[in-house]
Order: sequence, then C-alpha cells, then structure tokens
Amino acid sequence: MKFFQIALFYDQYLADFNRRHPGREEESFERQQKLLFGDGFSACHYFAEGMAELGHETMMVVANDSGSQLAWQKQNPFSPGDQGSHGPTGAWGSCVPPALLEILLEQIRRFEPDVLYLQDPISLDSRFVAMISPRPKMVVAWRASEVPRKTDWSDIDLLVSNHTPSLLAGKKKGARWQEFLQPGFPVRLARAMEGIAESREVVFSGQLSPLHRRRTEILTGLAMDQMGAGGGFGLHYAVNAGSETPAGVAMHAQAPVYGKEMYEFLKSGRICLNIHAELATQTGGNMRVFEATAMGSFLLTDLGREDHGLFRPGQEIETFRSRQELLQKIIHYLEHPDARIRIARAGQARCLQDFSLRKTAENLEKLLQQGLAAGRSRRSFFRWVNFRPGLRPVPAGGCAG
Amino acid sequence: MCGIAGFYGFGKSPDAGALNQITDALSHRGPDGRGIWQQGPVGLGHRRLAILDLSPAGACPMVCRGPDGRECVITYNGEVYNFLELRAELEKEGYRFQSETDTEVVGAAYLRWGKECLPRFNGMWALAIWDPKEWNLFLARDRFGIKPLHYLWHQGILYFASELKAFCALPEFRRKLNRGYAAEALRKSQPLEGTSEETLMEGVKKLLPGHRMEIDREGRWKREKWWETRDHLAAPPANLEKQVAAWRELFLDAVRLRLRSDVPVATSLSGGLDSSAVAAGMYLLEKENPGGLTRAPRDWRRSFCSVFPGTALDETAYAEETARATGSPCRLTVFNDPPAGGAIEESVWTMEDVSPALAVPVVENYRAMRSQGVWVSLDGHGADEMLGGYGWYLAEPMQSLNDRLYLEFHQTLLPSILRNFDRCSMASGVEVRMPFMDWRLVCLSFALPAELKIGRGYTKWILREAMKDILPERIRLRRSKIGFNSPMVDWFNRGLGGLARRVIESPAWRSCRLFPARKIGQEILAAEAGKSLGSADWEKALHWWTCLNLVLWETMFLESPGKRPVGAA
Repeated sequence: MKFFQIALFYDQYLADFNRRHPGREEESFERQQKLLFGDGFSACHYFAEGMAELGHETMMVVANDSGSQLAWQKQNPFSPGDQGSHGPTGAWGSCVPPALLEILLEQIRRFEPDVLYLQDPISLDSRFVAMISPRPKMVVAWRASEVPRKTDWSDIDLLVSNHTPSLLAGKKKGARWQEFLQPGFPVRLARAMEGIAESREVVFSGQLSPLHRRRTEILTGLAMDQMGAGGGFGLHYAVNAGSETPAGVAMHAQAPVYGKEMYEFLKSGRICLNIHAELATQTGGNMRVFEATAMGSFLLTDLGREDHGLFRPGQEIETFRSRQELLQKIIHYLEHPDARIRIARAGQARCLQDFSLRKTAENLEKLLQQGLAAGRSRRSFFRWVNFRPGLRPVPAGGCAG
Repeated sequence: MCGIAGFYGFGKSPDAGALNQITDALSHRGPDGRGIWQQGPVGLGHRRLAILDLSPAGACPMVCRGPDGRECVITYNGEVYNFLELRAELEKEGYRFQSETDTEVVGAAYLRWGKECLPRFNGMWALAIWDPKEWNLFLARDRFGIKPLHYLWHQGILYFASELKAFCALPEFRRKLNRGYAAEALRKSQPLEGTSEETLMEGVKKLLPGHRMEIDREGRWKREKWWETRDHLAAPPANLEKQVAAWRELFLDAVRLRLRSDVPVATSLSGGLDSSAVAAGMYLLEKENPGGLTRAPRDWRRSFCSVFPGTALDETAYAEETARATGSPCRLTVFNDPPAGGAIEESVWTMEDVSPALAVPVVENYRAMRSQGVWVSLDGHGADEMLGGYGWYLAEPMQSLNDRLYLEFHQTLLPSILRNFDRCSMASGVEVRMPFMDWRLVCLSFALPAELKIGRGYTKWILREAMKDILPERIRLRRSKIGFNSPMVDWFNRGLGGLARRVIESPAWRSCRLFPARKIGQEILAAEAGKSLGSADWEKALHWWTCLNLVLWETMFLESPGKRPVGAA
C-alpha cells in the first residue's frame, strides 16, 4: 500500500531545529528529511517509518517546514496552476502558508497514496481533504487532545487515538470510524541515546499553558518541598517559562528542549518526571510515558485512569497520586539507585517490546487493510480493538505532552 | 543598645517619678547605666548598654553642642555605624566632641542638618531629641524599624518608651486590651507590625518604621514618613558579573561597619545560609585586610546557637561546620526537652505581643551570649525577605515576586521578626546587628531583577553567588530551609512543660471570647494526652500557641503589674 503521512511540527521546534542546523535549507529534500526525522521530534508518530519497515511504499512530509518543502519544490518543479480550482486558501486558519500548501498538494498528487495519514487533523481537516484530487482511498487522522468546536471530520475515514475523549469527539465531528491505537517509539532513537550518562537528579520536560495548571502546581509544590526535610535534590524543568510562571518553576527552568536534545535531557535524569495535562489526566497516557521509558529513564508519573496496564507501577515505572507521595518517591529512589535502575531497565524493555513503532505500525496496518477492503467503512461507533492478546482492552489515553 | 523613655507635658510639669518608673521598666535593655534628664515639661530617660566609649562620657541623655553654642539633648537607642565618617565631616565644620560615641555624632548631626540628618545615618535607631531653643521634641525610628519606639497620649502628656511594658509602670494608666488588634493578630499572625500604629494595649501606639514625629511647644504634632526604599533605588550595574560583585562588596562593607564596637562581638548561627554568610564575611574581612577594621574589637570569633536534637529543626551539624570554617567556636544551647512553663511565660513578657513563635530558644541564645561576656551579635535577619528565601515565595509569579518581597520586607513579616529579635536580645542586654539590613544593600537588592533572587535553581541566588569561595559549599549550596523556630509540635505533645494545662484551666482562658477557647483547649489537652501531633500539624500548633500567647499576655500585662505566672494565687 502507498502511505502518505502529513506532519506539522511546532514552530518553536522548527526554529530551534534551524538554530541547531544552520544552512540546512541549502541541502536536498532527502538530506533535510534525514536530519529532521533523525532528530526524532514527535517520533512516537512516525507511522510512515513503521509502515516502511513493513514493506509499504511511504512518504512523510513536514508540511509547515519551509526548508525541506521548498527543497522538494526545487527538485520537483511544478506550476502553481497545476492544482486547478482546488487552489489553496488556508481559509480555515491552517498553519500551513499558502505556498507550502501548494507544494503539499502537489506532493500528494504525484505520490498517489492509497492512504493519507493526517497527524494534525485540526489544522488540516476535511476542508483540506476536499482540496485533494484524486482523493486517496482512505484518509486517516490522529488526535489525542482537545478538539475545537469548528473542526470538520466529515471526510475522515478513520480516526485513531489513545485518548477516549478524542475518539468520542471523532464521532461527533463526523469521522466514519474510530479506533483505539497506542503510538509507538522508534527503537533506533532509543539505541542512539544509550551512551548518555545520568547527570541530573530530577528532570521534567513539557509545556506550560492554561491547559497545564495542575502540572504547574505540582512543579511549584515540588520546588517548595525540595526546600524541606529530605529535599535538596536538583530539579531541572525544560519548560516555556514566562513572567507569569511561579518562581518555583521559573527558578529551575531552562529553555524547552526538542527532538534529540529532549531525549538526551530525559536520559540525563536519574528520575524523569511526567505530569499529564488536565484533559489527559482524566484518561492518561501522554507521549512522555513512551519517550521516557524508551530512553531507559526511570519514569515517575501521575496516573490517569487509562494508564493502568500500560506499564506496571513499581516494576516498570513508578507513579504518584499526591504531592506528598511524589516527594517520598523522589527521595526513596534517589537513595536507592539499584531499585531505580532495575525499574528503568524493565520499563525500557517493556516499551521497546510492546510500544515500538513497528508494533504500532503492525496494528495500524491491520486497520488499514480492513478499511481498504471494506472501501469507505461505516462501522458502528467505538469499536475497541485489543492489540494485546491476554490483556483487557486498554482504554484510550491522552496525547497532550 | 539601650532603652529610652520620656515625656513632654507642654504646659504641665509631669511627675518625675513617672519618668523614673518608665525608664527603670526598661532596665533589661540597659544594664550598664541609667540617666534621667528633666527640664520643665520635658523629661528624657535612658538605660545604657555600653558598646561604644564605655566611659561616663558616653552616658545618656546627652547634651550635644554645635560650634555656634546651640544645644540639644538626646536619648538614643541604636547604632549609627558610619558615625566615624559623619564625625570627620562635622569636625571639618567646627564641631567638637567630648566622647567617642555615635550618640554625640547623632546629636551633632541633628544640630547641623535638622531632621534631614536621618538619611545620612547608616544603622538602626530609635531616638528622642529635645531642642531647648525651639521647644521642639523630635522622635524618629530607623528606616526599617529595627529599633522600637512606642508612645502614648495620657492626660494631655505625651509619653514614649522603647517597649510596651514601660507603660505598665505608668501611674493611673488604665490598661486595656485592644480587641481589634488582638483579633487581627490571631487571624493573620504577623501582619501588623509594619502597617499599624496600634499595639495590643489600647492607647499605646508605635511609631512606624521609617517615620519621624515632631511635637512643638503648643502640643501640635506632626508625624511623617521620612523613608521609602523604592524612592532610593539606583540603577544596578549593567551585567550579571558586576551586579554580583557590587552586591558582594556592599555586603562585606555592611559587615565591616557592623564590627565597630568597643566590646566583644559574636554571631548567632542558625546553621542556615544567612547567618553563616555573616560569620564568613567577618572571617574574610579580617583575613584579607585586618587593618581595615576600624574600631573593631579583638574578640569577635565566637558563635552561639540554640539546637533541638532529634527534631526536624535540628541544624547542629550545619552550625558547627560554619563555626569550624570561620574559626569561631560555637556554643550550643541544647533543648532536649520543652522549656519549663516559667521560661515560656517569661518569653511572653519579653515579646509583649502575640507571635506564632515560641521565643524561649531565642531568649536563651542571647542569655547564653551575655553570660559569656558578649553583648553584640551579628545576625542574618532580612536576607530571606529581601532575596526570597522562604518556600512560599515560590508560588509567586515571577512578575510580582519583587513586589511581594517588598511588602514582606517593609510591612508584614520582617517588621515582626525585627520586633521579636529586638525584644529577645535586649531582654538579656544584647544588641543585634544586621548586615543584610544595611540600607545600601537593601536598595541595591530591590533594584535587581527577581531572577537574581530566585533563579538558577536556588533561592537567594545572588547571596550564594556572592559567597563563592567564602562559605563552605555544603552551606552555600544548601537547598533545605529550616526556619528558626521552636519544635512546637514536639513541645505541644509534651504539654509545653505543663504550661498549656495551667493556661487552659485559668479563668482568663475560660472567659476569652476572641477564639473558641473551650474547643481549642480540649484539642490541646487531647494532643498532649495522645502525643498525637505530627509534622503536618505545624500550622495548628502555631495557632494554638498564639491563643495561649494572647491569654498569657492579658494575664501579665493587664491583670498583673508584672510577671505573675498564670494560675498562680
């Protein structure tokens, strides 16, 4: 099958990537892609890479990355008029500038995919799909966070997510079929980080926003507790701190880290802290759970309802339910490195075995084969898929890292 | 140093006996001498703690003269550390001095510059100056309220004194609880010292920090604020390195000035960063430039600390490490058990207000100092409020952190701490000096961005950075913060040495309507019986103590003329 994936990366990440790779826009499209995907930003979503491992013909583009997209255009000249009456408008507020949207449509037209995979179906929803001619046989989208009111998924064939509310929203917004799917981590990235030594005590990487008030409170509380009995350990928060950020977070803050730098950061911590966003806390499972365990870091995370069963607390990861428990466990595991290392190793083994990119691609492949066989499937709402024989179906978890 | 008192009767000539009584009620503040000066309607009293020029020439009240023959009379509590520099300036203008005190320099400065002398002083003070030519009485407190000054209008006469308890000695003054203040003090614990003129005793006011007051012959009085820190903030140096260097230089200079003393000096160590920094600063100054310490005593390498072995508040190891590093042997006052009830009552009498702190260990620390022949202590107060040392600051958004610090430094928390440490130290005739309260350092600190205070992984970052290569790294980079307080939880589990039950069974407790006395009493006794309090009950224990504190205060300050134990016949 021909699988085409459209990714959109944070502007902050792309700016950071450009800073770390000066002059990369002069490189070929292929070379820039290698650099980008080698950096591993949002790697849990590299489904095209996983599908390629299974022998499918794939293409993945970062639609809002002007460097690589303009290089593609340079290597594959086309006239803007080639898109005919479906010329891009960006009228629904897409974060892809019109010139890059033209390139994207041309890439799809030339690749002629069976399956189009939208990693961000908020910026590129059905109104974007309507611009594609000819329409791929199947349009698949991923969402594991809030869904804005005006989103249109009426032309989405399959919505996949590890976040129950997103699957429910998929139904409301018109997606024809919704399926639970866990993301997967590329083993190659985990292997590339093996040489990174632990040089920090407690690390946290993530976003701060109005959707992360609880996260901010926990990080602030931890900074306060660090000053109390048993405290004194080092805290390192890679966050987007601003003037409204509490002093307790800001004092431990460094610039946000992305891609390889983030994996190195996670790997450098003796304890890797994870705190879900409010939305995801209701359900669980943000990307950090996979990214940290895949790195071989000791993950100490709060637990959403649907995290149960992903990893075994106390054996593969550790969990906390309160500020007090968080402090106790930090102190305990800093004082007991053997236990910490044992858990981190078991967590990594479990992640790379059950939540590898290849495993996810296999699960996705099954869905796509079913979908393609059935044409435009119109299955009943909310059909749980148990990808892990012997275990209870895992309810969805959020992706709000 | 010292305790001051006095009156101004305008048309009347108040009873000299009253002046004697309110002055002698402050004898603990000045065990080294006593002075009374009265002329017509004005009387000034003084209890002397002799620190600069121990001779009789340094006695107060002191008559000061200008080169034009003009005179003033001063009674004065405090230290103006830059008195040597001011004296040299005044000498150039023809002023001559009879003593080696700062008191005489302060008097001369008043004669030279009038009330505008105050901004020239670097130090702490509460003073009264009588200008016999103008028949004008001038009262003033230092910028931040380190030294206290209370006043009372009674029967048309203005009385003033260093402490509240002096007014208990005033004949015919009917003492009453200021219920509004008491209720507020119970509710907020420490909000009133820097913002309200009120005190627990109705009618007795305090002159607020950074304020002065003038009363003329007609009895017209004017009270005004003479100091506002934010009006004196200068632009800090341009880059980080220079900011740290400037801060360090000012801090060390603040320590240097505060070593001016004709009697031995020591440090009060808590084991924390601030007091350790002061001790290390002293050590460094002598090591690097012993000749630069003008008028410093030879004996200053001693330190004192109250410790609580076996409790979460024990900092013995840290205090001893600083003592070793600075070559100042540490004398520990060890609290293995709750203090006796009598000692707690004494601390309430000493503190003369409602405070969430049970002050016995502080009182005992300074008592130990005095017993060892030391009556000047350099302490670390002010750094936590100025540089964001407390945990609760971490919840403050960075954009408002400096405002919060400004408020707690000038109006709420620090003024209460300054009051407590003045009372606790002066109860034993020990003067506490505070390098972090040097106005130049305060102005620089508040001009700096918030991230230099809480940033780069640490609270009080600039202090830590400035102390590089001066303090042992274990102390300098220590993150844990243990406020200097008594182990209240442990002590409540042991009934405060029997005092809690005695207070709860007293008529004063039973008749108190400012808090649910019956319920709280039961809770306190239940905690003692079951030894049930844990570290999570800290706030509760503090509240219980403020209630006990208030009832003890009422009993001692209103019902009894002095320190009569609660429940005693």
